[in-house]
Order: sequence, then structure tokens, then C-alpha cells
Amino acid sequence: MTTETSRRPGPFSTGPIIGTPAQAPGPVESGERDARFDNQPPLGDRIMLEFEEDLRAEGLIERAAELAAAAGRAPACNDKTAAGKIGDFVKQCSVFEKSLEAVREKHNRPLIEARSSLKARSDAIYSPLAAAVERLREELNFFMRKEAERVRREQLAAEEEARRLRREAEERAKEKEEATGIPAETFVPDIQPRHIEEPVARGDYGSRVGTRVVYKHEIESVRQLPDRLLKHPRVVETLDKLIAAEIKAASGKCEIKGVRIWQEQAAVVR
Amino acid sequence: MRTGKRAPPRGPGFDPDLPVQGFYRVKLRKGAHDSALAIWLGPPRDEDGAEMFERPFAWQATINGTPCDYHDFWPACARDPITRDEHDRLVERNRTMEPESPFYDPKKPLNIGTAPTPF
Repeated sequence: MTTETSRRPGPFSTGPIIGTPAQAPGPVESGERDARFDNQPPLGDRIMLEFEEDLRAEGLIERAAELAAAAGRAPACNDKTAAGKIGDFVKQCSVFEKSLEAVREKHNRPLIEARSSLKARSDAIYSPLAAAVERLREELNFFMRKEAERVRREQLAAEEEARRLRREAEERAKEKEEATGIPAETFVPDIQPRHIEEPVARGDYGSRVGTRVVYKHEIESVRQLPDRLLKHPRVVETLDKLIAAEIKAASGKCEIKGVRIWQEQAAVVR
Repeated sequence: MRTGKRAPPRGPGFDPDLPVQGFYRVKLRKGAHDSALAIWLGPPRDEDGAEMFERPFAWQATINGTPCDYHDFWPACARDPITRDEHDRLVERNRTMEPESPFYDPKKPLNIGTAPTPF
């Protein structure tokens, strides 16, 4: 096997001269991209520059200014002619918004697809491990619950033992008080329950498996929930959406207890 | 053979062979701006536009002020009748000779994205 130090150089060789110590391969020789020749700005800046360029090429910046200026000149909507003009302007703005969205989508779509591909690839790599970790976590949960139960039993036993010892000490102290006349409290030692260690498992790499209390719940009767939960803004917002969907499905011809339904006219521009 | 119940009429019915005199809003192409159509029973016109009263009356039509054949539009145009004032306004608007105006060519789709703002 030839090494750098033993390679005979050709007429145009740029390699090391025979006899010199071997040099570490440079970035080009090792296959990495040489950052000295990378003239592009960072990805985020590059996308914004290209987006700005496309906006100017499509004339969208000027069009936005033109529409904004026209909005300031809008007449009062007092007759059908003014309503027609305002409708035309609203339609122009929605067409402009669609054009803007199209240009944004052109630059956004590759990023979204790249992000999805990255997530899919990393999920594909981790998903077998995720299933195994979930299974092992269940085994850990089972074992630690058993350990916690054992500790609880030992704690109860230790407290019972401490109570028994305290009772015996109090009886002996009473006998001594009767014998010597000295108050019994002097002879009663402070007896505390034996300390039981929390259930903890340790790994060689420093991991610590302990327990924590997890509170679970189940709603047995929604109607008995207190008002602070039933009238919570998030609950009311979700109820509004469900009620609106139900009324729309019934075309307004429905009755829901506790809900007032009425109609309003809204302008539609097509 | 129809076995179901006939649907109720959604509007007035028109005889395709007998137009109704009046003014109507039509489009000469999908996506184009509105054009004004006028239909009336009157004396036919010669090449110079003069009315020939010696001839019997016939159904006459103009589209944006230009004579046309009412068969091309009737009875479809009956769904959107307009007033005389609106007809005159549309004819005046479409009479523009500015090539840059969005109303220059009634047969060209209107590009609302590049059209000038209405105010």
C-alpha cells in the first residue's frame, strides 16, 4: 500500500515531495464543498431577494401603491353607481391578493416540500425507535409503580413501628415517674419513623429513573361542570363554531335551546 | 316520459321567436366587460343608416350602437334588462377609442388585475 510519503511525483504533480511528512487532505480532495468559492448569500436572504425581484418584475409593488391610493379616494356608498365602483375595486384587490399569493407560493412551495421531506425522513429513521421506547416506557412505568407501592407499604410499616416504640417508651417513662417522681416527658425519647428511600433507579450513564404523580380525569357529567369551565373563552369559541356549522347545514331553519338565531344581509362581490 | 313533478318557474318565460322591445346588458365574450343591446320594432335602415319608412317594420337591434342581428342575442339577453339611461351610459363608455382603455374591445376579456382603479 502506497502512502503520501512514498508516492513518486509526476511532472505536473502538486503532491508532497518524497521524503516529506504526509499532509492532511484539503476540503476539495476530501469531497467537502469548499466554502471559499460559495458566493451565495444565506438561504433566507436569498429567498427574500428573489421574492423581491419577482414582485418588482410583476409590477406588484406599484400596483399595491396604486390600489392603496385609490382606496383613499373611494366615494361614499350612497347609490348603486358608487356601490358598483366599490365592488369593482374590491374585486381588483382580491385579484391582486391572488397574484401576490401566487408569487409567494412559488418561493414558499419548495421550502414547504423540503420541510416535509426532512420531517418524513427523520420520522422514518426514528419511528422504529419510538415504538420500542414507548414499549420500554410502559415496562418502566409498571416496574416503578410496583416500587412505589412497596415503598408505601414500607413507609406505613415504619410509621406503625415508630408508634409502637413511642407507646412502649411512654409506658416505661410512666413507670419511672411513679418510681422516681421525675416528670415522664424527661424519659420519652424522640422516636421518628425509619426513613424509606424514594424508588429511584440509576443507570451507568447517569440516567435517573424516578416517579412523579400524574393526575388523570374523566368527565362524568358535563352539565354539572362549574361555570368557570363551561363559560371559558375557548369552550365558548368552540361552541360558536359548532353552532354556526349546524345552522348553516340547516340553512337557518333550526332551533337550538339557548341560542338566538337571526339573519343579516352581507355584500358579496363576484 | 317525465314522472316527477315539474320544477316551479324561476322567472318569466319568453318566446324565442318574438323578442321584447327594450334594452339589455350582454357580454360578447366570457370575461369581457358589459355591452349594451337595444331591440325595437321599427323601419329598417339602409347602408348609410337612414330609415327606410317605405319598407315594413321589422325587428331592429344594435349592440353598443352598432346594428346587429337580434337572433344572436335573443332570448338569452332577456335575463338582464336595463334602463335607457344605463344603455346610453354603456354605449358611451364602450365608444372609447383609447387602445389602453379596458373598455376598448368588447370582445377581449377584461384583465381586472391591470385595469385602472375605478376611483
